[in-house]
Amino acid sequence: MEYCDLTLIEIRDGIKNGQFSSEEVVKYFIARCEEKKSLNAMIEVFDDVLEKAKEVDAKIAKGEKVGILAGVPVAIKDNILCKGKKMACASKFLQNFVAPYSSTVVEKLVAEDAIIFGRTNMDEFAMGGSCENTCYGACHNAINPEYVAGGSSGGSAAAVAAGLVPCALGTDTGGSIRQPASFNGVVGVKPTYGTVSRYGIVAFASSLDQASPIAKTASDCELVLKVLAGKDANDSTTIDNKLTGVHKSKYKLGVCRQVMQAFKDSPCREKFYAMLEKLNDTFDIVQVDIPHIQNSLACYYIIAPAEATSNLARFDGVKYTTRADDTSDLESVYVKSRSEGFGKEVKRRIMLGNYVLSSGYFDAYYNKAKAVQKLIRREFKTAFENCDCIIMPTTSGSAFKIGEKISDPVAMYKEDLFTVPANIVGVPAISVPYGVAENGLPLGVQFYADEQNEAVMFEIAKMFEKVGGAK
Amino acid sequence: MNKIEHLEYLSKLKFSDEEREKFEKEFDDVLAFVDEIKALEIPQDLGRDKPIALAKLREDEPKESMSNEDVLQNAPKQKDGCYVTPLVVE
Amino acid sequence: MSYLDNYDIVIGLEIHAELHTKTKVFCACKNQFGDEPNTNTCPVCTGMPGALPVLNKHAVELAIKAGLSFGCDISPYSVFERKNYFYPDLSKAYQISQLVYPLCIGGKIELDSGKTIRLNRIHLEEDAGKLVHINKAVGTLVDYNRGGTPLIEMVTEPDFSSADEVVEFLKKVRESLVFEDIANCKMEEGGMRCDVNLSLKKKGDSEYGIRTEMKNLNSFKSVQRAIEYEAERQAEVLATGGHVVQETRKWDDASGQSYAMRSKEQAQDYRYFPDPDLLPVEIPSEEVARIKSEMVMLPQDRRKRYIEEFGLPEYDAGILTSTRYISDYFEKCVENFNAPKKISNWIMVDLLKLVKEQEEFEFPIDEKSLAGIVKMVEEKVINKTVGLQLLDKVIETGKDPLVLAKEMNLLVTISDDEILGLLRKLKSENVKVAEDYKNAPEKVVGFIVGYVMKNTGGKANSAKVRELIAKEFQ
Repeated sequence: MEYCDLTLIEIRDGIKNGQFSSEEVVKYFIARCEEKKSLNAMIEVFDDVLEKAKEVDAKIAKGEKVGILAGVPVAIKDNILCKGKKMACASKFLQNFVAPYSSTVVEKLVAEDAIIFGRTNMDEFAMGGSCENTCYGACHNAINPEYVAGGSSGGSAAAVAAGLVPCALGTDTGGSIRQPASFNGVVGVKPTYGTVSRYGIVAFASSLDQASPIAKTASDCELVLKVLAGKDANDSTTIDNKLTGVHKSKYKLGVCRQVMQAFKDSPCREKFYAMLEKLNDTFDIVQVDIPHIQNSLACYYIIAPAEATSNLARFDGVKYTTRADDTSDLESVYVKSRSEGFGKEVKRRIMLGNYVLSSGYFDAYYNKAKAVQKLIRREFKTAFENCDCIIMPTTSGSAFKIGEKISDPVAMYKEDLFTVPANIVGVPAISVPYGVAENGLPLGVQFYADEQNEAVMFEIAKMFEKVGGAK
Repeated sequence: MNKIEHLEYLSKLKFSDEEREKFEKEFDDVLAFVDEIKALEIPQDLGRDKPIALAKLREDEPKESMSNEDVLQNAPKQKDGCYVTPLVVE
Repeated sequence: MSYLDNYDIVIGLEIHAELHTKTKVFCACKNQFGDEPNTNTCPVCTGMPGALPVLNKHAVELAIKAGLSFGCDISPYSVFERKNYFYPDLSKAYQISQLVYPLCIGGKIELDSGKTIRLNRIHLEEDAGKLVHINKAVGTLVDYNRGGTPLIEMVTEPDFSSADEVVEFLKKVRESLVFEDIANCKMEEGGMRCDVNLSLKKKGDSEYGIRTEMKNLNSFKSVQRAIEYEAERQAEVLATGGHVVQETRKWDDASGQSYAMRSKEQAQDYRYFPDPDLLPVEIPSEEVARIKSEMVMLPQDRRKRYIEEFGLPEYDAGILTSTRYISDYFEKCVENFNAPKKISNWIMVDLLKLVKEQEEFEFPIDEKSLAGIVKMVEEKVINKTVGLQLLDKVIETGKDPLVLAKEMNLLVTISDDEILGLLRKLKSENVKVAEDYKNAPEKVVGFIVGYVMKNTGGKANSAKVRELIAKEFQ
């Protein structure tokens, strides 16, 4: 059986119904990872996966009650802690780090008898949009290895697209799940801020980060998100998002004028409009305005680095990160360890964060960005009074070649234009594949929903998969 | 001390001269790009961030701490149950 | 003639007190002093990747209580911010503190002289860990047991003009915090710390001088000495044409001098911003009212009551209010037997000596039992000597005093006839006594009472004995 062709739900049901065992499934995926090693999507398959799979099989054989993900392998991004396993955020700085405790998301997956399969490649500390900033070497696009996998959750997206695992968790701070999902032709979701606990996930920008699944279908993502969601006593910012919504017989999709304006020079513009055409029978399409949506990007590149610079200050060569050699005084432990440990993009963001927080600049940057954030939030609220979801491209184009943009940070940052607003506003968004670009690489479309309206978002995404999706 | 050197100081990072020169140029590009928000006019009535009520905060009940071994598991240097740094002169 | 004669001293304080909670401010590790290093620690207080702070409700309540004790306004909306700087005792490289929206604003404390010291604010923050500097070969050891302990920081306005005022103020602050059980304020354990900002102002001038900040003041005595030293030092610098440098100075108790701490290359920039891991806290006025209703009467108010209402001497009132425990104990005894002066005597004379020298203690007898014994003595069911025996026995056995007294046959059971019999016997055996009594009864009555007591094992009611003596020897 080619398990890589099955969805997560199909694998789950097959194991539950005794069509095949978790052990068989896990063995298959281990072999597949070995076969596709050059993709560089998986950093490591954990050494206890077969053992765990056998345990679940035994439970099922005995007729014991098992969780809703029983026996299904799920990979985790390299910034999610699983006790006793290595976790490095794809950083040289943390290469020897072993997680001393488990994240809430891992505990929730384990509680549902999922198999924590291994860790996936990423941009260092989740900073980047190509999965090239990694101490493990760039991750390749699953469709064409000359192209980037996207980022920062590039490894998770490529692993799912290449059939190395049916589902992988990523984290999304400004599009880090949706953009690589789009680049690899799979589905990625970013829930309402606070839906999934951040406890045990290395923080990039605390007020924007959310962990969530990447999988082949919207249904797969929804199932896993339901497992991950919930208020957590260890994360004060979590909410009790039930992921339910009010079903309607016909949904209204909003097309945002300002987004389309920004998209007008994209080579994929024609394809996007052609796809929109096809939706007219299924959805009501309306125009909406979000006047300041484009300013999300500047807000993001102020707020995210500001939080990141503080979040990453704890990596100092004293407590767990590698300490540089020849450090005879405290200052050199700090400066040498950090200068040697962090990669270039991470340093750039730390510096930028310190700039916008520093005395004399704080009001003009950080406080202003927080105010603009509130304004955009208000504009989204108004937009959602007129539609159920806002439809927009995930990226302006398909994946670019490895090395193409690595030396132009601003060009790289502008890639996030359509994904960043969801994080800035805190609303859920899902990226679903819809077609293929001129270069033969997949294209993704996003559905944004109002906060805690994931159920409607998933329903629309599932409808879209039937009428406008890639397959 | 120029701007970049000051940021290196705050960041506990040190660049080589070459790195610094390259970085400075990139940094200015990035700043030019985020500077757009400075000119935006913003309404005053945007409200405060949503708070949590006092009553919903964590109860003052102790839970078991982590073992000393687990706490120091990743320490690059340790002694007598402590992390170790080079001698700090106050 | 001192250099200081031409200057006024201007002092402001920053006082830190560790709050008396069971757990730390942002995690559920025990808030406990003196354990093995890094054993009351977890991912949160050691700043591990992925760990997140969760605010302790009780710590917020105690900070609010502190604010209410000193007449602060309690903010309905309060925000925690990150204060960013690198130091090994700070596990996350930022301290969670408050800047723009502290919990308590304003407030004041009145000194005995009637002078008012204004508070600027009280905010809640986390303490840092402990560093032990060994030597060059070994280095510095880092222990995060104390890291994350809840602290309040009280900031005063620069209203002090002498070391005496500062010390009086600190004592008043400590007394209130200890009394409300907000903090234990043990200075020697670092439970209460004080930074002194001091500058000089030329007499008659309105402009403030450059100030220095002094740290490491571990006792009232060192606060006093450090202020006196620093004022003299600054006066001498100014008088000899120099300039005071704005700096942080460390007080060295042994040498009686302060030293400038290694100066930072540039001014600190803490880059405060709201902590995105914590939500702002909303404190409705009903909650403030509830917390206020849970507060007890403050020591100065209790002292006043003891003196005015109970008629106790000032000295006694002072001792009885020296700790919350003694004061509560005393008041509970009085509730059981309304004789404050007598109860006070028993506590002052007979109980306190039992717990002498102990810093933390509980009296070995509960309030109800002590009140019971005092009542028996006052109602002359037993005499004081027997009362003291009974006290020992109650402490020894933990039994109810009345039950014990009966068991031990201590209660007065001597009949009038028995007493009369003894008196008559005395009269016949010792004619001189009877004569002396007629001449000067006050000179021998003590002897006669003693005789009866001796022959009844102390169980006779002495008042009764006196009454019968008066009859029989008339």
